[in-house]
Amino acid sequence: MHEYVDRFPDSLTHVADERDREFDRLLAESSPLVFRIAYSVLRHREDAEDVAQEAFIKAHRNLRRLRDRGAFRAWLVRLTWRLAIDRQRANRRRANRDDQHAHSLPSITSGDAAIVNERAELVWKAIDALPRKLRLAMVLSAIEGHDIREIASLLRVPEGTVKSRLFHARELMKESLKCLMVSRE
Amino acid sequence: MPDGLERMTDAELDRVVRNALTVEPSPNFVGRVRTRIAADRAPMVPGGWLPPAMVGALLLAIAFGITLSPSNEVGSSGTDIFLTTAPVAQPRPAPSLVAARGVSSPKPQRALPTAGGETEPEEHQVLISPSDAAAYRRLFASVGKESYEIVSDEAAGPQEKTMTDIDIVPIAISPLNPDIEDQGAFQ
Repeated sequence: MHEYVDRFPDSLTHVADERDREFDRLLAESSPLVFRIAYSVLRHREDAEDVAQEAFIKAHRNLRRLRDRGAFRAWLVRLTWRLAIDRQRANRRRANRDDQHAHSLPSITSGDAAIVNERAELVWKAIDALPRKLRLAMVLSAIEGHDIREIASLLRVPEGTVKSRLFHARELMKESLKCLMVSRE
Repeated sequence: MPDGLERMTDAELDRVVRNALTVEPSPNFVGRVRTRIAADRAPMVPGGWLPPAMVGALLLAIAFGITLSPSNEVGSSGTDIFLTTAPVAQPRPAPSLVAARGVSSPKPQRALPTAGGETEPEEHQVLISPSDAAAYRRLFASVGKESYEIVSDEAAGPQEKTMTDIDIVPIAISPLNPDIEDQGAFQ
């Protein structure tokens, strides 16, 4: 009895340490993915890092639900996307109130000037014009070269749905780019 | 003006989007997240918050119980005996009452008057001599649930109370040894 009682607290701390180590591994592996998902929506480095940080904190609080890495990573992707969309809405409301931001383009700091060039700006406009579900599939496809199976796993949808979304996203983007090119000329 | 965008293939479009998304977080991003998570983590208390909350609740219950517990007074037994002053008599204390305090309330509580005739509601202590305490105990033991007036000797004055309701245990004096009777009490 005494031996069991003495060992019990150690086993609890052992589980907690193991869980923290696992989360640390997830943090190191997923931080570029989470940041890029947030950046694809917000196009602002500081806002994207804020959203990514918030996503990781929420993920850590729900760490005990971690059953397998794949499920947790998918949950993290969807959570980050949702937080980024919410932050984008809040930014637009603030922009409409303050009249300081452009209509749809997020503010671009000087630190982002190297990243955004004219071509990328047009591409971003085309991505922004996509419906949300198509946009997320397109972004995930571009980030880290996720294949159809991986995107289906992250979005928790069938692979056929992912293929359909990617097809429609590319078609819409080509149309948007064509229109944008025409409008510039 | 970027050209060829309108004639891109799917692969080229994917490549352009991938290049646009080739951004990295700041170098200290992971460190900041770790710091924030460490600050967000709850303090490591064994068993969580429950044991301190239980200890706090227990201490509160003990303090509450101590506050509400009745004080032990002389003469308190299982029977309810109310010592009240006589309504017509002057509120004079018994000579044996050294320091009596009472609570001035309409209820017949143990409110014994002070020497000045006023009741001081601060304390419930009744200090009497041991012999008087013993007499009171015998009285209460033999009386039961009935209530009695207890007035001072001065208030009693010329009035003689009939002690018919009080059973006083007679003092049994055993006769002296007949052999020494003639010799007197002292030998």
